[in-house]
Amino acid sequence: MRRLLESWFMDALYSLRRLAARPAYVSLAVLTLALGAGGTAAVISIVRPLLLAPLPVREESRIGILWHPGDWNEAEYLYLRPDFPGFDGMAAYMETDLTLETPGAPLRLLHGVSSTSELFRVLGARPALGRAFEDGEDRPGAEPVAVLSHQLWKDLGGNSSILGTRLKLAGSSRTVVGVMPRGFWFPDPTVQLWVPASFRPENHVGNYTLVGRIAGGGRMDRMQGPLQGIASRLGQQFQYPAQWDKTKAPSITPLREHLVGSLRPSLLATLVAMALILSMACVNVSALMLGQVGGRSTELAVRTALGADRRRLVQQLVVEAVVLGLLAGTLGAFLASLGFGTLLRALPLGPLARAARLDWSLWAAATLLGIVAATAISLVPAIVIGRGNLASAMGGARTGGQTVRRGRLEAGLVIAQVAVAVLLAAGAGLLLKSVVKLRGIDPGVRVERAAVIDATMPTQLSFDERRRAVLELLPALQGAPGVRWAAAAQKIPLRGTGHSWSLAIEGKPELEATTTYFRIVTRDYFKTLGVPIRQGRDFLPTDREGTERVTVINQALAAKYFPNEDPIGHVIHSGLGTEGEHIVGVVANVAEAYLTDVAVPARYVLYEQVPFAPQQVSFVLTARSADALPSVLRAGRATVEREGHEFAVQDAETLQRVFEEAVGASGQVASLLSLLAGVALLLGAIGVYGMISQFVTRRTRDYGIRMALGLPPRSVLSHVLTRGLGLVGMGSAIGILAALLTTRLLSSLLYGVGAHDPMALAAAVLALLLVGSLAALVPARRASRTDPVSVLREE
Amino acid sequence: MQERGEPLIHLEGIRKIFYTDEIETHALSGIHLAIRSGDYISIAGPSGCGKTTLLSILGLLDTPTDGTYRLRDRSVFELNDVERARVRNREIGFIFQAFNLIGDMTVFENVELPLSYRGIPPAERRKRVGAALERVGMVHRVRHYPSQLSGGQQQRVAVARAIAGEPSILLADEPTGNLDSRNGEQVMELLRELHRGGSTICMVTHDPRYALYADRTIHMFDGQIVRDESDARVGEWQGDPIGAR
Repeated sequence: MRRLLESWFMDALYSLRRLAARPAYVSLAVLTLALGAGGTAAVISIVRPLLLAPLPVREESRIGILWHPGDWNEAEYLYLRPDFPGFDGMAAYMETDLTLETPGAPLRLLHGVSSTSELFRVLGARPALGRAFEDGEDRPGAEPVAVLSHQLWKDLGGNSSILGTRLKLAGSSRTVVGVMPRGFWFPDPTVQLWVPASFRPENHVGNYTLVGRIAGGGRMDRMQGPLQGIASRLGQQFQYPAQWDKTKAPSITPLREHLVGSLRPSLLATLVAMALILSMACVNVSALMLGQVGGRSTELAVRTALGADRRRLVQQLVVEAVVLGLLAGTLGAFLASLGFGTLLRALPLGPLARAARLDWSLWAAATLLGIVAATAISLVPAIVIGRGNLASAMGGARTGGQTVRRGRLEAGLVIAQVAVAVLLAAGAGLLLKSVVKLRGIDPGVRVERAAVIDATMPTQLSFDERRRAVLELLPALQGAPGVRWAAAAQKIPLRGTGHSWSLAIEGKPELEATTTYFRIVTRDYFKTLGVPIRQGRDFLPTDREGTERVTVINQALAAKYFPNEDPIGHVIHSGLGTEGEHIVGVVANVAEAYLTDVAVPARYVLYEQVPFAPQQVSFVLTARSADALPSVLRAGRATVEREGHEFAVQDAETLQRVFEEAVGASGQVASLLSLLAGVALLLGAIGVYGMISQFVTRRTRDYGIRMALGLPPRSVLSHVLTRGLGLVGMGSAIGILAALLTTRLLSSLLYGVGAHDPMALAAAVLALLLVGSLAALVPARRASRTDPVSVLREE
Repeated sequence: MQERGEPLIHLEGIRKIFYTDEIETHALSGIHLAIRSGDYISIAGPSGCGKTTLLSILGLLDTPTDGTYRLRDRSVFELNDVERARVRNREIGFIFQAFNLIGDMTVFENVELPLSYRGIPPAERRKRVGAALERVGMVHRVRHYPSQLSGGQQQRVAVARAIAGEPSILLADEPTGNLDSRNGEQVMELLRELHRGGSTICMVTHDPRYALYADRTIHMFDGQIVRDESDARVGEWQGDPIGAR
């Protein structure tokens, strides 16, 4: 045993010294292996919990979402409730934000879920502490309770004595009855608490989602009968307009699809890209190590001649591979952490990002795999020695050139790397072109120099109190350092659909009942967002509570409802009062919902002139200069927190960031794929350089002889370059073929660009040709400078 | 250590055929050779006559296509891989034309290498390495790397590596092939000293001057021994004249 340990120690010291003498090889091998280990850990840490790991519910295959999210109101649910044939249980839930009031601390906004009492039973989830909701706790007048997430419980002290304590949530006192276990989340990891909703049969409003557990023995794909039964019962009780007829097309969506389905294209694209990068990394390391085989074979042959048996040789190679693997693993840990954070920011995961955790067991497994792979490759010379002739292994080449078989293997590896690099570059090119088109869309607002602070008010505030709170805070925001304009709106552009209101136009009774986007804003809203007035006027200080109610419409509304007439002066009825709203101005169209939407009708009214005010509000501040924007954002948030006692700040970001988020998954995935394509190009270049270098080294004697016989140096240069470009060309052709077959997987992320866009594909090939040419040029120049005299003298 | 004159190696009917694509190359054809302890043999002949192939087979670096090889009256072909490695380590010291020192190891470590394979304790190894380097006059370079040495110095270190384990026989394949005449003579003088000290040496050389350093010269041509010149031993091996077969 002592001799064994001593031999390991000697081999380890020798390995370290040997690797230290080869910094270029070691750097490349360690970096590539580290990329493999770290990248694998980072990517799978994100993909596994979202796409592969079981959801934190029991038997997720039996749980589904009925119809569409947000489709249901309280009356519908209560009507159906006693009986859901085909289901073991059905719950209704809605995400909501609740303010938490703690004496001496600022108002805190918590993201929560309001649901019927069956929710946890349907999900099959049990609290770690206390209990879930009991039947009847969702009835009006029931004792208000709350169940906390594990994280919120920890934030509040992490003590089991929290059960039975009361929290002031949204103005009401609720008793904490349970704490969910660590790792539980529903419907996303940002939800911090669950509260029972008070359902009333007379409430025909609400945007609840119905989640049901299929009865034992049932299957998700065989629920058409029970769903149709539910639809029929709805039809017996409720009347639906044709465009929203819930009795038509009943459906159930598997819970996983509902929760994470939208992430699948982005995550799969990332997973595939990373898998390709990892393959390239393995190929690169293989090529690097195979390049060491020649010199290693001689050394191993000498050791064998001196009496080393196979065990001893293998031990030495394994120790070196382990040393290399450990170095790579250390760097890989750093890359895993860096990569994980980068991927989280780069991928459009939204609130589900919190479900991802860097899994160090994956890093360990990937490091081990890297060591095993490195060991396997490093054993090649030992196998060569074992099979072959020691004498010839030590004798050295008597002729120039390489063995044909090894040359083909290395060429094949380079072609494979180039193909992968082209594939990734093509995907990145398509996405980048798409993103350029998206970023070229004019959203209708000035996104530079604007900051947005989102806040929520407690539900117990009356509409009047909310309105006053918003209007009273504005002067303080206007006076904040660096602020040019300040305004508020219940919803700013580029943040999806929602907030529509019915519309009727005085003098146009023939109009069918319809809705348009409806925005409650403050006076300087259009100035703050840089929306030009096209006709009529902006809101004025004379437009206030008690005066004639006014409205400003957008050009799309004017074109649709007043096609050949001046809309100024017409009156819109929104049900806010008998007098309606007088149109005083027309503004340019703005992307009220999504960046890529065509212009749709929208109208704007003042906070002062509507009898209600929503809980959520977004304050928009325009900075005097671009440099002042960061400080304006900070100052704005601080002002709201200091002066706005009724507000809990949800988020503070620039309008540019809102715009980037509106560009959507394409932008994020494009950034990521471009980064990976860049890595692939680098690995491809390393592969080409390494292979051509070894090609030149093996042919040095050949070139020396030919040059001695009169071959000009430029011919040597062109010969080597041709070899390199030939490999790049073949790899590019294969890569383009692969791209044509696979880039359609990115279709859902593309905008204004076809999956086979020729310019993007051509750009990918040109990038590789350029990079490959440069990579081959260095060894080509070295070859052209071969000194025939010294080469021949060595023989 | 064996007594001088005791039988050490006996080759009988050794043939070696190399097969490459469709070509058969008969490198050795029916070689019979006996080496006694204390012999100093040079194997001479033109390029391609099979000298190095014969030496490789003697050093267990290659295996013959046919024939027998007995070392200390034991057939080498009965040995498994581990036993062959052990024989190479303990019985044979090889000196290569290209020195074949390991570039990432110091002089000391190169000489120590075969001793470490034998499991000799570190203190004993240090003693033997010191002694071997002393004999070849390279103690002062013990911490140097091969790249810091001249060709002659490298070959002397290679000799030290070969003798450190006190092998039964030293096999030298063109030990002066990569050296100038001065260094070549120094190495040959070293080998002569080792022989005088009792080492058995079998050396391949194409230089007739260096062949004369040996007591016995075997001439080869086209894979066969055509002449075996020695001053005392022709035809004495088990009563059969070697050259007569």
